[in-house]
Amino acid sequence: MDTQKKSKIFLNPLLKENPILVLILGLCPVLGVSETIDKAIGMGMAVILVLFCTNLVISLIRKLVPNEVRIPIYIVIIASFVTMVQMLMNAFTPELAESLGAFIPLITVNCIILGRAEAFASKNSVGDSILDALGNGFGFLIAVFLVAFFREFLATGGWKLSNPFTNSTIFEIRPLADFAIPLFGQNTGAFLTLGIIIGIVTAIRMSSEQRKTLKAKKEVQ
Amino acid sequence: MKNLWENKFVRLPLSLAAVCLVFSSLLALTNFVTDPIIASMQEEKEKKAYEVLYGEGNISSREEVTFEATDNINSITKVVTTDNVEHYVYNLSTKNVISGDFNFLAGIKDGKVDAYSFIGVENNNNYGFAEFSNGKDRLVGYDGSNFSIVSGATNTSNGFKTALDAALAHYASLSAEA
Amino acid sequence: MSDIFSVFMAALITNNIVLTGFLGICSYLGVSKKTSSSVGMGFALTFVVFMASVICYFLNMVLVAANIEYMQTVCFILVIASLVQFVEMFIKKFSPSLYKSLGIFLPLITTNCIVLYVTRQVVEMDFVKMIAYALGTALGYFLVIFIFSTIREKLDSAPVAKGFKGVAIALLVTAIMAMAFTGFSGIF
Repeated sequence: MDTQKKSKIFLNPLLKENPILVLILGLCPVLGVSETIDKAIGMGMAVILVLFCTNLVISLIRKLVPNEVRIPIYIVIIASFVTMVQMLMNAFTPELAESLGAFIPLITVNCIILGRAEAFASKNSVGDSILDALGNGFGFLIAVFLVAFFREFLATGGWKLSNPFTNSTIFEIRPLADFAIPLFGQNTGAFLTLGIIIGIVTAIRMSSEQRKTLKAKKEVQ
Repeated sequence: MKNLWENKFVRLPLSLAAVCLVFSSLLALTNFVTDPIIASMQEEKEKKAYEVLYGEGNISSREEVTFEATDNINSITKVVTTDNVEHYVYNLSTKNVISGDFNFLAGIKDGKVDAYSFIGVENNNNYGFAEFSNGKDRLVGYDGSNFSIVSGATNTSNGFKTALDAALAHYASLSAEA
Repeated sequence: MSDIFSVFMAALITNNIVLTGFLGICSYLGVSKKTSSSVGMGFALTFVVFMASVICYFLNMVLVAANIEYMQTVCFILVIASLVQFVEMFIKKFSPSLYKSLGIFLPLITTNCIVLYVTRQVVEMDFVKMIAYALGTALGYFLVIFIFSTIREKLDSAPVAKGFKGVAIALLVTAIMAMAFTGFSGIF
């Protein structure tokens, strides 16, 4: 029973309560970094790292923090970890840091991080908070990767993945390079792709919920 | 002691100050560790930009030139290429470009820009930037009167024009002295 | 003078912060359901962006002089949070009706990407151009959110496909608006 509850903490934000596709939180970086899967994976890993650290620390000090100043304290902790991650990325993954540009310091004001800190880490144990952080972080990564997957394919006809630490290409396949639609690499394409993906995900969710209620009604009868 | 801690006016600022102190020291530590790495990478980027300017290995001598500090000019180097031609290479930064300033090298000879290259990745959230990137050679041949690129709201192209004008003005003052 | 105009216009239209910079989307989608609330949010954000960029411009000079430039994010976000708190207290005291109509938007401005982005961008600019940029960006957001809220009011009663009602169709309409704004890129 306990492991089932714990696994729910991790699995829920991955798909069922995905912070971006379902709860519609923290959309700003999704549109900005989903041009290529390189940037998407890099941003996702940065968010996971920041979420992990902040949830860990906030959950550790949750009993010591006075209630009135908790928001400024959380903000200082989040901003510090984001700056540390930014400095480390500038030093060890320079090309990735430069292509992500201003979006790394903007992780500070990402609604997901402050939201999870306030709603979960400040009230639950360290272990649960870490699971929640990893769940939400990977949920973010999955959502951004999905958008980038389609955007890069439509905009350049293929994908390119490279190692951020050494800037060497792991693979680059562009099967449909002749049919590339550069529109999807620009701002219009970003909104289009994200809108369509959210629409499809919502439609799938709604129909599966309908099926569940129909099944429940049939079982009652 | 416990009564002091219960007092709201002691507890709140003290806890905030404690958190700030701990995390500022963590940040200072990270900065201390990563700063030298970032500085050495910046030097490498500038070296690479020099190679793009006149081709790899074509520079036979470099000499720093002293100058009065201005907004746009970061450093000036007198460069002699392997075919014994003298160029003045200016390390320039644009100013007031709203999506982020650019840092680039511009080689000037005979009052005209004859090569330029960007330092670092030329990736920027800027519509007007596509015209200037490496390999497009759009700024080559500019001598102060024939700026041919206009970006959307002229904010980006103004930034480049101002920076190049400053470099050309300095070059003109050098030739005036000679 | 034309420089200042070009900075303002670039921030307002050609490099619009919502449609080109992808910032401020959360509040853009959440607040634009009614035109009155979007107007309130626009005014509040313009004020906060303006004040925050002026304060952070001078604060950054202090940080650079003390050689602790890496503290930029932490200091700026603290300044923004306290500024929003201060503005909220001020409005509550001096105009309770305005406070009631703005309601939940003021505390939300703290986590609005636009404020932190603008304060970080302006630290390298000249003072007058910095003011033009901050005002241009905030008014660009105001313009887009106002236009979008008028569309969205009609959108709520339109026959939209299942699953696309709400956020998804809003994003698709924004895509068309972004395409329209791209057309401004050659004018000024």
